[in-house]
Amino acid sequence: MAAGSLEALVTVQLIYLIAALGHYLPLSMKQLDIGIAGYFAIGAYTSAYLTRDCDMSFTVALLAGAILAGAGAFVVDALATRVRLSGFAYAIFSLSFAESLRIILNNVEALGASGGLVGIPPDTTLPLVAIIAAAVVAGFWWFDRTRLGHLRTAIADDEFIVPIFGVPLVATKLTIFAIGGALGGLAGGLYSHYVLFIRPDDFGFALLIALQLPMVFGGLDRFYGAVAGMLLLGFIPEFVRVLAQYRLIVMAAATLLVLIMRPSGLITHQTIAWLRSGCRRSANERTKVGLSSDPSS
Amino acid sequence: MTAPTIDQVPALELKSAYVKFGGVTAVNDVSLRIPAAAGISAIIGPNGAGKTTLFNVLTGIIRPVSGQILIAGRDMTGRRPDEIFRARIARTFQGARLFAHLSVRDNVRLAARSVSAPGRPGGPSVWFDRHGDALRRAERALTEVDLPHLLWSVWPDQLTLLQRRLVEIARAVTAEPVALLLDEPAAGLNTAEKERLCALLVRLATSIGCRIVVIEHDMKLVMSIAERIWVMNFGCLLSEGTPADIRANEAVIEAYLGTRSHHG
Amino acid sequence: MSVFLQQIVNGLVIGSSYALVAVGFTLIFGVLRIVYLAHGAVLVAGAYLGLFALTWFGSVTAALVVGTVGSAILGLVVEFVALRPVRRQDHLIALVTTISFATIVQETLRLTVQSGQPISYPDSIGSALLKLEFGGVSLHVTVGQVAVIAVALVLVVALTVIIQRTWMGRSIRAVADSPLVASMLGIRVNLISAQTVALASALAGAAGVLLGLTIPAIDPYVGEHLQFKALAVVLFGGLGSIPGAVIGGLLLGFVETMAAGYLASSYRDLFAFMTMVVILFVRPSGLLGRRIVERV
Repeated sequence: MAAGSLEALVTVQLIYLIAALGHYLPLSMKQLDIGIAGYFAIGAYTSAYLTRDCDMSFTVALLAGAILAGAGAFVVDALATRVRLSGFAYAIFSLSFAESLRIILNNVEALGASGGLVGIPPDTTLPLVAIIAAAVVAGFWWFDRTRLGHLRTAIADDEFIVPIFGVPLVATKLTIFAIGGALGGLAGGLYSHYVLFIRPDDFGFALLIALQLPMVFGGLDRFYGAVAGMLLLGFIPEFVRVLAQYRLIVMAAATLLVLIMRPSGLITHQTIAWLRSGCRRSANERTKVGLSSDPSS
Repeated sequence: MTAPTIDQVPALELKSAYVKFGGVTAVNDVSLRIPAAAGISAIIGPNGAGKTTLFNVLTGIIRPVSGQILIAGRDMTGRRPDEIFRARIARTFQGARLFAHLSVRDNVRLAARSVSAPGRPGGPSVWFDRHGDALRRAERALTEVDLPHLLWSVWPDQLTLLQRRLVEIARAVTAEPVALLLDEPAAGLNTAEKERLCALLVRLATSIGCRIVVIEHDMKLVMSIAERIWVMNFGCLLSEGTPADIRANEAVIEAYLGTRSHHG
Repeated sequence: MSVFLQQIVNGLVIGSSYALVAVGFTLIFGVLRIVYLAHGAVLVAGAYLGLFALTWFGSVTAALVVGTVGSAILGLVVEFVALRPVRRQDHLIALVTTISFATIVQETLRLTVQSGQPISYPDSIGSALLKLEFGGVSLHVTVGQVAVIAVALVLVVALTVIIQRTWMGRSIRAVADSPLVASMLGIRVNLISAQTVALASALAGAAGVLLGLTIPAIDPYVGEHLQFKALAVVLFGGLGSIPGAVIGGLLLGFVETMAAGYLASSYRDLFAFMTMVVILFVRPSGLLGRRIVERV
């Protein structure tokens, strides 16, 4: 892998996409769980340690990292829910978790402390990441159509009335958060086995920004928006060579501009409906009438 | 439609309920019995009289400071809203609260699942829908409210207000309710739509065999479909009776209609 | 003994700067009631502005004035660009717009000043060493450190006076209590927001300059770092409570200094975060603040 090469760019962005989609789950439910950098770090360090020092297979290590990260997300969010933290406090709490983890990692000698962990086996390849990323996106498409996916949408839309219909709100939310954290951990594992050298400082605020801003830019309404945002803000600055060092500023400025003019982000479900088909839309327009001309009443 | 008999156990009963928000008494020593027999009742009163709060108490969303809620004779005071829902008391909300990003069918299916779910109520089994049982219930409910099949895959923002109300009613109906509480179902509808809604409600009461209780401001509508009316003002139950009783009641007329009595 | 006293002084210096940053921060949270994460960016901008002022004018006073005023102006920009347009939206949006703004500021600094490499304040009177002796104990402090304590004290007192005694301060308090009622009484909430952010940013700017005078070098990310600490202090003292922020800031300064003296210094930053976690669990409203826990 040559750093800065096209392949490296694409691979890392796809890895970020996976992590971002994990972050999308709580974000779409208006839960400001911004400890995502922490879950990413858990996955990165756990899997690296398992392959490097415990001679485990890459697959097992990846899974272990993902599961541990998911457990971490579950614990953090369960604690926060237990104490019934408001949105802002929730955000600070999850951020403190991620930052505390980072500081602790800076001091754990077995994991390289602040010098970092080196010599990670290069198990991640672009094809692998591409397949996993595609699978995650497809998985999201499928998930939205499952019962749990419907519940996520319902909770995102109107959390207040969901419990009335017999849905265990807290258990459902925590499960979804855990899935989100696990995806972040999975991405982290892929990341550490690609860059081959990780330091706790890699998993700080900058990572959070890289994962969160493009998604909010793209729109949280549907997960397509998050994907589009990550692809647009992640890839385009990378490919236009001259913009390379302005990447963060472009990302931030674009996000700021879009949010000021269109707070729901670039893509909403209306955009998708509009894009999908004109004919289906006008068919609905015809049925969108009251009693007087309703043919089927 | 049979008039409710005195010795039938009421579907839903409130005993001396008090609800206070800060310094305001929203519900002041209200007792009422919602009969089990199929039919339509109504709660009327000026804005701020406490009608919606009353619904909230009856469905477990708000806990009364004191008082009892009995469902089919069983004390369900302080129970969670989903327990009340499973006890076959369903409601709609002002303004037609549907999940904006789910199709009509999925909106109704969400509610249908909790009623048909085996296993521990409110547990993770709600996340799965084996055998498509919830789907069948949902489609049955949608048919019951006469919503054209064409609209079932559509999203709420593409529906008219009346259609959204119908979906909300369908969602409530999946519980096969004994009592169906509708919060201002006719608000914002034109005359033709209101007529259609009334016809539906009358039909629904018999076909499902439930007692429908509407909160409404349209007096003409209420007088035409309700057999029994409760009047509220300032959190208190002013009066109850048949439409004729209420029309003639001085206190009601003064409170609700002002001292003019031109509503015949 | 003098080592201990020296630690106390160091703690006071660090604590004063934390308090200075936290006071403005808590004011913004209390009045604007949204998630605001551009405070660090305003601080670091002030630090760099002070650097330039000191280089050109050679006077620490000029640096302070330029840094303070410049940051106040930047704060107004934040209000107009990142806050006002999204005031009515979900809190998440404000979080993201302020973070975006902060990123833009930081990146601009990184790209324009020495490629983001640490840069030091030029030698000035701020680095002159003072030796204080009393009761057989000697302490070494720099003028800069004394300035931190003095300026922080003056500014916090000034802010308190403004809040308690002036008409603007009364309006700010009214909005902090209830924006709805305040607006019904004819107070323009938008204007108050702008004033609050400007005041808080001025303090942050001053803190930035003081920071530059006392630490070896600054880089574009010192603001972000301090912001986290200030957040811990704000949570500890309670959102919207100025006394709480002062107490919390001083306390954190002392704790960090003592701990760094006797524990591994790399764990020093952990205190701030652990404090946040503990506070959120034990007493989410902080020492003296408004409740931020929703009791449904």
